[in-house]
Amino acid sequence: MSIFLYSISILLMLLGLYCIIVKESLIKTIIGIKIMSYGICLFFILISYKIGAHAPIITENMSPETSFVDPIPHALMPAIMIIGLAAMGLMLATAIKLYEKYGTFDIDKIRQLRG
Amino acid sequence: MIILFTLLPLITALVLIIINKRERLSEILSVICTLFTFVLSLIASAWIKDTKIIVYHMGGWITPLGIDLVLDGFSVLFLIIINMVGFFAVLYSFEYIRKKYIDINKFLILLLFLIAALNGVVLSGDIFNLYVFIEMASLASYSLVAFGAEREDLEASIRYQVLGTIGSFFILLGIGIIYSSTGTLDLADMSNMIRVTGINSAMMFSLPMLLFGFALKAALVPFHAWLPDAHPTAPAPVSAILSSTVIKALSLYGIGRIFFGVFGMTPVLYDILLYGGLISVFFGAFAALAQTDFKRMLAYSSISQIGYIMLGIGLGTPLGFIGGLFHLFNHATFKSLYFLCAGATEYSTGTRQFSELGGLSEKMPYTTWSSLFASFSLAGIPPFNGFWSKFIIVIAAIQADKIGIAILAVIASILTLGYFLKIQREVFFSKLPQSLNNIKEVPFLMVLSMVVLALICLGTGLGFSYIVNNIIQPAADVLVNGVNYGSLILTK
Repeated sequence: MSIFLYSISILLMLLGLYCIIVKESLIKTIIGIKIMSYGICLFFILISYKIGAHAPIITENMSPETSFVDPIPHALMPAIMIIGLAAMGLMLATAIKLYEKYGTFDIDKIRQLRG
Repeated sequence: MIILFTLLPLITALVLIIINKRERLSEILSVICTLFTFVLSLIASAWIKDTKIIVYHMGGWITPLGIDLVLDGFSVLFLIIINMVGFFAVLYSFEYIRKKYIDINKFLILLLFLIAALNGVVLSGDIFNLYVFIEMASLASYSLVAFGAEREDLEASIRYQVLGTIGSFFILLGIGIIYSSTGTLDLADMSNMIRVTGINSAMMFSLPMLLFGFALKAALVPFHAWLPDAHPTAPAPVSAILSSTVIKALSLYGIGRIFFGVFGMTPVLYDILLYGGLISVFFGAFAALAQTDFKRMLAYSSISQIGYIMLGIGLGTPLGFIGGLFHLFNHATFKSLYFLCAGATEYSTGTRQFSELGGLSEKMPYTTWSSLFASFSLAGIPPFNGFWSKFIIVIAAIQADKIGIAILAVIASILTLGYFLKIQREVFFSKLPQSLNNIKEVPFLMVLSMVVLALICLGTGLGFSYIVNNIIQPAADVLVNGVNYGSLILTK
């Protein structure tokens, strides 16, 4: 089961990377980046996941064998998502400005610089 | 006190947002802030002389429960270059931005965010904080590259954004894998744990992820595609900061901290740094020779010089570390100076193309002399600082029984001499074109920051033993000390 979930997260990352490398439209590249970031988020969620474990809250009548999930990667996720949101906003703003200047989202046509 | 390095620029940036539009006040505030952090970073080099390492526990939680800020020799070296270049860039930017762009206030806010984030990167003792600050610095530099909002700026910025984000994702994935096998995010705790248990195969898998991410951020060849676009199109003070500190703090610092301090270096990793650096040195130098744009040539030269630093560190001997880190310091001084000079010529003449420039030495004496000082340092002519660091790297290569590397390093230095001569001939010493008869020297503040940086280039060259003993040696000691980093902090 967990192997399956991990492979989904890796698949999402690779899908995003494929999208970034292959697609010519700037918007699709940005969607690819978002997919890749979701893959990484899923990976972080999974590394703390345990089958049959509880949320890490200590209550009074609880048996000592209760296993908890690791809360730290879950707590990191909001930070990563907010950074992703900021990056996404900047990227889309740049893309819109580029569209105003060039009239296209095609990366092959946006080529003033030599690379 | 350590937290002021991050907090002060951050608070100043927020105050600048509030006082909107009152430009003179925001200029004064930002100069005071950056001057204070610059002086504080110089004082910090004295703090660590006896104690070697200072740990600040955020909120009083001890390691590894809380989040730490760690100040040691390696951080101090980076703090000094970040805040030094930051101060001169702020000083330089007032006249420059006002003429070429519109909004000085927004520019200063982004610049202060960038400085705060870079200070955070080099001070953080927690791998996730390191990532957050890396992202913050990257976001600030993406928007600073796009600051002009013209065609070229936007295009360079989007390219930088896409590649930079991929790099960040790989760093993040590496961090996730390390966390899953050590169960801690604190660098010191992690280092201690790995020293006891050794490296397992999951950690081995995270190493290439981190290396790939950092190499993308450092623009090591073949991951350099974004740099020659992003650095020249940015406003000149930003190019200076990007070239001389951002690419180093985001990548070399990460490599130094995580690979040396946490995992411990292996001969294979040293070889990757050594040969990756060597390829960068030659690629950057040859590509620079072919350029016709002033700042673009400097950007390729940055690739080449970053390669030099990697080469020095990749030799894996204490002397090699000293050479590499000293070159890092020197590169920060002369490359930022050179970018400021390029900005000054663009400010006066309105162009960066070699074909339209020439003979500026009559009209702009201060800029010419500063750029000459920068060139001498860049090409390694004694007694300027670039000579000593390259000399140390060559000596270290010979000591490490790598004569071939030493010879190649000397050849690369001669190539460097080639492209700096091209700049000097094309821009400053050939015949003055008719169209440039009416140009004037740049305003006082721009001249001041260039001249002071030029004097620093000469001064660190003349007093190189003092710099090496007081700033470079502690940083190199941290690299030599390697994985003992964790136990140093945990015993605090």
